Amino acid sequence: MDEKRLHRRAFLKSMAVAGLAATCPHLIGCGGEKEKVAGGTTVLRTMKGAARQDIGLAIARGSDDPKKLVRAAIDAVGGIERFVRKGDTVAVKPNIAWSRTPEQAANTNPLVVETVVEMCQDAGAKQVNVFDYPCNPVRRTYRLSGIEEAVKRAGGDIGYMDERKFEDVSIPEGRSIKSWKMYADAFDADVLINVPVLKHHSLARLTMGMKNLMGLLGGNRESIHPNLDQKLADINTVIKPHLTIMDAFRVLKAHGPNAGTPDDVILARHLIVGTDPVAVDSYGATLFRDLTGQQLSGEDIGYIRIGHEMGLGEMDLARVEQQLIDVA
Amino acid sequence: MMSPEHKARPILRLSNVRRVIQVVVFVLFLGILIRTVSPVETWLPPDFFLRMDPLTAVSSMLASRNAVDFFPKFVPALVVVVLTIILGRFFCNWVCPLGTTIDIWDRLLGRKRKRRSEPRIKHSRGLRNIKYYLLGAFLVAALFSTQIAWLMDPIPIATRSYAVVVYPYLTFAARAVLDPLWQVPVVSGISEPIYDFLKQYVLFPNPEIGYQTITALHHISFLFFGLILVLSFLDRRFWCRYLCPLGAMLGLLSKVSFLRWVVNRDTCTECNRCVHECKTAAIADKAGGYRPQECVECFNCQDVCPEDAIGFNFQSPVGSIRDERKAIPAGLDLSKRRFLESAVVAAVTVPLLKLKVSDRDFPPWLIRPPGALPEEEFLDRCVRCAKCMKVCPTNGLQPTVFEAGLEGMGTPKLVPAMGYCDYECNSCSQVCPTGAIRSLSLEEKKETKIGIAYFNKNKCYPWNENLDCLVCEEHCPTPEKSIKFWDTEVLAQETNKLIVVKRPYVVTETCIGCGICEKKCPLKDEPGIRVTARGEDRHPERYSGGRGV
Repeated sequence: MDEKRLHRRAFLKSMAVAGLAATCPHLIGCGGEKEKVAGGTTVLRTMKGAARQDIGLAIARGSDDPKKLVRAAIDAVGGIERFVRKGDTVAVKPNIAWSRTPEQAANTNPLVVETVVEMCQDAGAKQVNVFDYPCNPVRRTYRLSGIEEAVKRAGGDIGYMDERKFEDVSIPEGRSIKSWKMYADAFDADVLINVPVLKHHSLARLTMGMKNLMGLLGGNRESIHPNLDQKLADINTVIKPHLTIMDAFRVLKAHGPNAGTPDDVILARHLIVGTDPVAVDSYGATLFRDLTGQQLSGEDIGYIRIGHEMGLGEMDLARVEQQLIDVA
Repeated sequence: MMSPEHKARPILRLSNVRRVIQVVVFVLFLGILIRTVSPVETWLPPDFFLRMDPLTAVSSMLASRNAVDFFPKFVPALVVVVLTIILGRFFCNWVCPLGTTIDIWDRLLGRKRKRRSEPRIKHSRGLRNIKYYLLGAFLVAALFSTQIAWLMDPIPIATRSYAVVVYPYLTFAARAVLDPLWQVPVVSGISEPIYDFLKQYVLFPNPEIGYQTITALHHISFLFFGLILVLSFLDRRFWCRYLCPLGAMLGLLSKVSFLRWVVNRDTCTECNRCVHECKTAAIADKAGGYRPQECVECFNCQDVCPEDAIGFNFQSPVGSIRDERKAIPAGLDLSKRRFLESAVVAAVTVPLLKLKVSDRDFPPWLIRPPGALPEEEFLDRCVRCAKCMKVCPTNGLQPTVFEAGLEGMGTPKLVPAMGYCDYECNSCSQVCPTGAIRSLSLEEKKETKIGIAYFNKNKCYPWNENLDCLVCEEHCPTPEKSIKFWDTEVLAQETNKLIVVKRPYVVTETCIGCGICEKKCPLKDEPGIRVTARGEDRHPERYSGGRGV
């Protein structure tokens, strides 16, 4: 009898310990330390690191080696050291949305991502994290895109996004959406580098830098599509990459953003660097026009036009300083 | 006499060798199962354990009336058969993951101490014979072209139980425990690296889904798996002793095996320790009584014999049968009448299973994975191992309950609401042991139609609410898009003004029915686009071709 009672006590004790362990995250008040919006469940987030620098646009073109294009364009704007300082944590957001090979041009070219990671490492970054939230199964997508291997080669870190790190971030200037689940690492990094790819997209017409940030969103992402242009501009009022490096080495001209036949892929050999997301995308639109002959400019792309109106950047390329670098 | 518990026994004894190998094999089984992820990169074939199972091989061969397809693949089963003829029913206690599971379960329950007691079921001949009759019934059913051996074939049971019961449960549990710890100081320093490792190598690697969701049939599998374990309360290895048809098959082969249990009658004191220790009642309650068809070669009897009177020798099986008959009444004593009865029951059951439970010949939501054979042949071969469901990277493959009729219970179907068929993936066709889903190259797979999408215009944003959306079109993976759209001038209901809306439509000729449109539709309650099995390649006769060619 005695023995039995002792067991029961031991059992109760272990239950108490387990219960305490389970609740202790709440007891110490972990999570949600960011500034809460009064009366709501959303948090206000702003980008870490230095304010956006004005560097105009640098366009490198002509080389068969994407790595050379990246280096040439970055060098033209004063080197990556202008953005990445020793000890910085850098977040690199390429487009790794689809389980497709680099030749299909549905994702950012892996060599472009590799070069960006290498340069950040050389500039003394403490950590370079590469991530995206793919539309297709993540394991195959990371592999088939070639980006997982490329990042590892360059010594960066590439991991699957962690669903716990999505925060309901307030969008004070938002006109269509007032808050959305966004990935905390994009805000916590000292530098956020957006590395999109230029390609066709039926609804948005083109997907470039501003749309690439959709990969940092959680929640019901699909419901961004109705009234897409305004919602993209809204998101860009909160997530503001310090640098955008747009891959236009191969350009998918039709059946984007993920399909297409080999004939739909143009070997364009371009790469655009800038800090103004609207200007980069606007340049992308004119480049797409030159490549395909379609009548198109920044003004024709809804989110570029709205972004310009909302003061997110300059759509009129005549007012943007441009450097054209021909790379052998 | 020294009590066997205190007797010094060598570490390197046969029972310990068996234990080590058993554990290694079990870990291998779990390892292969866990690493059956898409893309498949295991260094052993992901269906290796199923290929070792002669019952899976024979029942699928009989039911599908095809031996050629199975030959190179099921060589491991042939090896098991040959080894069984030499060594006896070693498979059950050295290899079988279900047997090991039952042993572990026994150990967890601390039943080791209770072993010395009398067996609970004393006159068990009738019970022991059940498995032989079951085997007969399954093979007769297979002859009548119905594959039902999967119901009790231990390798498919173990595979599907771990894949669709234990694995989702553990994934869920790991997340429930580790998720809340991530912001706890100090603790997270330990828990997060563990979690990262698990996410990388063990857990379901799709953040969109998090863990594998489960449907009704998982619960049935869970109950069945639970029942097998609960039966161990009645008798040790109740399942293996009385019910397992694979055990019966290997038992029949062991009848003529060369490795034989022998007892030195000069030293045997008839203490009956070995009789009580025996997991499968292979030793009769009398000195020297031995049923070779029941012995699973665990060698535990040697451990408990206080007189070291038990040995295992290689003998000619012909001679030993003769000896045995003289010495022991407890051989394999099957009743011909019972066999006939079970054969009749099986033959009668076949049409019952094939009766349609649906009012349709063509269940619209029964979307089979690409490469699935035509329905009849598919059902003849599918052993419900659930490997295809385990490997599916989107979790779209789920077991049926009654959608495919009674006969088709537990077979895979694509549920686009849960997950779609990834364009660049052919993994399910790579892991199917019996070719129910035939092996497809990626190129073939991309052109295999498993259904066709249609718009529900009462729900779809552009059709019903005049909102531009095109998420389905965006995700459509076929080279030239099987969802296209027109800029359409429509009258907006709210303003009574003409506006332009991008209204999508399906190109039925090129749509392959992968279901990504249904999965990704922003209308999560009832999607504006859905997929049915219409137009699937394996049943051209089911396709009402619309305009025709």
